[in-house]
This record gives sequence, structure tokens and C-alpha cells, in this order.
Amino acid sequence: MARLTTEYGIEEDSRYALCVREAVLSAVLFLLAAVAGLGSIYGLTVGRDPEMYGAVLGLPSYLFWGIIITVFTFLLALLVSLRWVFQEVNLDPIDPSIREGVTDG
Amino acid sequence: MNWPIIVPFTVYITLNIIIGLYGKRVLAGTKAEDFVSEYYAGGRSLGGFVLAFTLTTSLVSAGTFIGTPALGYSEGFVWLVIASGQITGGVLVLGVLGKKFAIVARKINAYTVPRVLAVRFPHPLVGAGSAVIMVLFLTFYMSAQFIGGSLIFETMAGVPYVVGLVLMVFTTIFYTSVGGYRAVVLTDTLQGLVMLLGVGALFVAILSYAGGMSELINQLHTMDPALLTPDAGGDYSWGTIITIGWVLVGIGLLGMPHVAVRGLTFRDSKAMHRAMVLVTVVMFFFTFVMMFLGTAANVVIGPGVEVADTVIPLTIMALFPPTMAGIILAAPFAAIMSTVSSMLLVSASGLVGDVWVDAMGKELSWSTRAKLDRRTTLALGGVVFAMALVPPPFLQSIVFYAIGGLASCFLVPLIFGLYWQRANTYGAIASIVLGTGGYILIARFIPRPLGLHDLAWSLALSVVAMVGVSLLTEKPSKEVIEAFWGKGKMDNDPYVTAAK
Repeated sequence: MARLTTEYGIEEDSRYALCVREAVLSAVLFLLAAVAGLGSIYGLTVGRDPEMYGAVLGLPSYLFWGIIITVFTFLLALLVSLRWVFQEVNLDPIDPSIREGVTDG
Repeated sequence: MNWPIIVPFTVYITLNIIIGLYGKRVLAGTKAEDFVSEYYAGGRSLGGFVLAFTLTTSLVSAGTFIGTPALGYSEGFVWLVIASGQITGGVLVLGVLGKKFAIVARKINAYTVPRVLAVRFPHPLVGAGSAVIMVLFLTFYMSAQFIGGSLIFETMAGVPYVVGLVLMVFTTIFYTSVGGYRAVVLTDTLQGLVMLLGVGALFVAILSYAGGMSELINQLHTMDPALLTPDAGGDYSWGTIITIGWVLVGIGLLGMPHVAVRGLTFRDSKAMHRAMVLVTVVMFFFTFVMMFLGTAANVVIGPGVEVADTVIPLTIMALFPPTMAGIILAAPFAAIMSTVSSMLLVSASGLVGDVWVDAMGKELSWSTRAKLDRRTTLALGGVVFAMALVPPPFLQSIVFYAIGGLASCFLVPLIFGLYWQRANTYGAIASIVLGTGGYILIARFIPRPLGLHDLAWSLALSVVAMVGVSLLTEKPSKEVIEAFWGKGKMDNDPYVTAAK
């Protein structure tokens, strides 16, 4: 199925490819954090009584690894993504490439 | 009346009113044709710091400060686990709606979420229908906030429920209707800082009260080991935990119009990037500490408090001397007022802009529009006030219900509308009707099928309806695709064309 922009002969705003990539990456980061967080919470507690959870900084270990460390790692991954993937984009209503006269159609 | 608590609180409320007046001055200085942009979007001029705070404080409400800790008090750390789904939700909202949402909104000149939907799916059922559903669920949501606030005021300061309610409603409506979005985000920032300080102080206080973290956990263990388990000793299935935590208060946040609208108002992409980091840090802090406190409160005030929603205020009173308690008390109040103010504003914009002006085709001069906007904000506040007069037994159930309803209506049309070209009007109508209708029916008649929260089911229905119906019916028009994917600013408004 052809994209409708192609079918209608519409030139797509050049910024949207990046927008899609960033949106997908944000969703992936969210999902990875969910899997890591829930996974460690489940793994550290399943089939154990509370006295067997172990403690980190006095907290039950699953709270430390499943929430604190997970969020910390998520933040690091976010910073890395913001540095290397996300880009500064002009939010002007008109595609900036038109103004610069690069691909004026 | 407990004056040492009331005085610092009054000072704080006065500050908020002053900010409202500042917002009014900025509004008075704007040209008539810029009024709507300024009133609803602060002239799209928000930087990263303010954006992060207005986003967080709109997300974090009586739910995070009162309702969920109350659940954590009776059921334990399971609610800390569940609520942690919302920590990364801010990144999801900013990142997934992202720059595409910001650019499209500028192209089509939109300041509200229903307006974005109405241009993408040009039909009054989408534009006005979604606005009405939005106002309906937001009204529930807001009344829960005021109920929470007045309840605290009653518990802590001995102020009669109705008096507290009047005070809160008056202040919030005042600075919202007078100052608009700029006043809202500035007060949000002030309130966010107050919340940070209050929450930090509470955390330190409870640890020193119990004699350290290990000691606190030991005492909780002695009281009831189930409090320490991530599933309330087996009472919660993992399906329930995941669908409330990561679907309802995680992914569901994408469908909150009062939150999503913040994605329309940032100044540039740099502001958005900074806000993504800040929002995660602040959300983590609020969520972790408040939910932890809810359970830890068992050690401070003992188990068996009659009205669970008063757990946090009672704990604050037990931990601090009265004047300090009055200052800390400002934190949950800030959470409540900041949420309500943003909700009032998007509700008013929905009724005036999306229903009255766009769908019913009323032409309004700018000055009439400005007046109508303010009056609607006032009237809505009145309705919420009336609803909050008689509080229902559980606050958090209303909050969850409202979040689910809003997400059932908005999430799928918004995401598919932004990123899937083939999504069309029929698909959107089907997804709104089946999503929202399905949600209301499931919640009413067969709550939590298979242990999964109602929203998980209504979202699935909504996706199927959107994809299935879109593919079976005609493609969206060239105008629509041009507006949402083309290079230029929108020339012909598809919504206006469709109405002709």
C-alpha cells in the first residue's frame, strides 16, 4: 500500500522522518524500563517471603533495583538518546528547507 | 481553627493570586487576535524548566499526594510498584507526541487537543464529541481533586469542609479565569517547587522518626509482612499490577488532554529535551517518596485510620510542629490546585473553541470570545464545586475512572492520527465510540475482566475499531494529508470544508 502522500503527490515535510524516529525511540525506552523494572521486581520476589528479599540501603532489594536503579538507568539512556539521536528542530509551521530554498518545490 | 496551620497556608494562596494578576497584565498587553494563543497556550513560549514543572504538576494530583498513598497505607508497597509506571510516563508524553504534535499544531493553528483531532478527522462528532467527553471526565477528575483538598483542610486545620472547598475553588478559578495559561504555568512552577520541598522534608522526617530505613522496614514487617511484598501478599495479580501501573497511569497519560496540551506549548525543541529529563527526575521523586510514605505511615500513625484519604495529612501533623505542617500542607494543595487549573482551562477551551465556535459555527469577535472563555471557566468551576459538595467514599477510584475514560477517548485517535496516514474519520469515530462506550460499560458491568484493568480492554477495542474501520472505508482527503504531512502551513481547513 503506497503512502497517501505519494499517492496524492504531496511533498512531505522533511522534519517528520526524524519525528517518527524520536517517537519510536521514546516508546522503546518506556517499554524497556517497564520490562527491566517489572522483571527485576518479579525476579527478586517470586516465591520468597519478605524476610528473604535482602536489603539495599535498608530498602527491600526489589525496590532498589526495580525502581531506583531502573529509573536511573532509564535517565542515562535518555540522556544518551537526547545527545545522539534527538535533534534540535525548528518548530516553524513551514518546512525550514523551503525558506532556505534547498528543495523548494 | 488551627491558626498556626492556616497562616502559612494563607500566605501561599495569596502568592498564587498575585501570580494570577501578573498573568492578567500580560494578557491585557496582548493584541486582541493573540488573545486565544496567549490565554490557552501562553503564546507557545514555554522553556524547558517551566514546561517540565507544568507537565509534572498537571500529572501529579490528589492521586499521587493523597489517594494512592492511602491505598499504599492499607495494601503496602504494591502501590509503590504500580505507581512507578507513571515515572517514565512524562517522557512518553513528550517524546511520542513530540515534535510532530508541536509542528502540526502550529501548521493548523491549534491550541486544544480536540481541535487537532477535528482537523485530522473533520467531523463534528470528533471535534465536538471528543470535547464533550473530555469535559465530562475532567469534571469528575476535578471534583475528586477538590474533595481531597477540602478533606485535608478539614482534617488538618479544623476548617469546615464547605469553607475549605469555597476557598480552594475560589482561588483556583480566580487565577485560571483571570490569568489564563501563563498564570497556570507560573503557579504550576511555584507549586512544583513547594511540592519538591514539602516531599523532601517529609521523607527526611519519616526516616528520622523511625530511626533509619532498616528500622522502618523492620517495624513494617512486624506489623504485616504483606505490606512489604510487591503484590500485597498475592492479592494483586501481575496482570492487574501491569495494567494499572504501566497501561493506566503510564501509557494512559498520552491520552490526557490536559497533559497532552502541554506538548503544544513549548518554545523550541531544546525546551522539550530539557523537560524530558527534568520531568523524569521530578516524577521519580514525587512518586517514590509519596507512595513510600503511604505505606510507611503505618509506623507513624498506626494502622486502622478510618478515612484512608486522610493518612497523608495525619502523618504530616504527627511529624511536624503546626507551623511547619502548614507549610508542608501546601504541597498536596499545590498538587491539587495545579491539576485543577490546567483541567479548567482545557475544559473551557473545549467548550468554547471546539463545541461553540468550531462545531456549531458561531462567529465570535475576539473580545466576545475572551469574555466567553472566562465565563465558561467560571461556570465550570461552579459545576465542579457543586459536585464536590457531597464527597463519595473513595477519592482514588474517581481519579482512576476519569483517567481511563479520557485515555479511552483520546489516546488512539491522537496517536494514529499523527502517525498513520490511512487513519480516517470513520475509524476515529468508531474508536472514540467503542473505546469510550466500551470503557463505561466494562467499568459498570464487568470490571477488570481476567484481572486486567478496564482501560487495557477499551484501548484494545479502540485500536481494532480504528484500524478495521479505517481500512474498510475511504481514504482521508488530500486536504487532511496536506495539513498533517505537507510542507506548508494549512491553506484550507478540512474541518471548515467538511462543514460546508
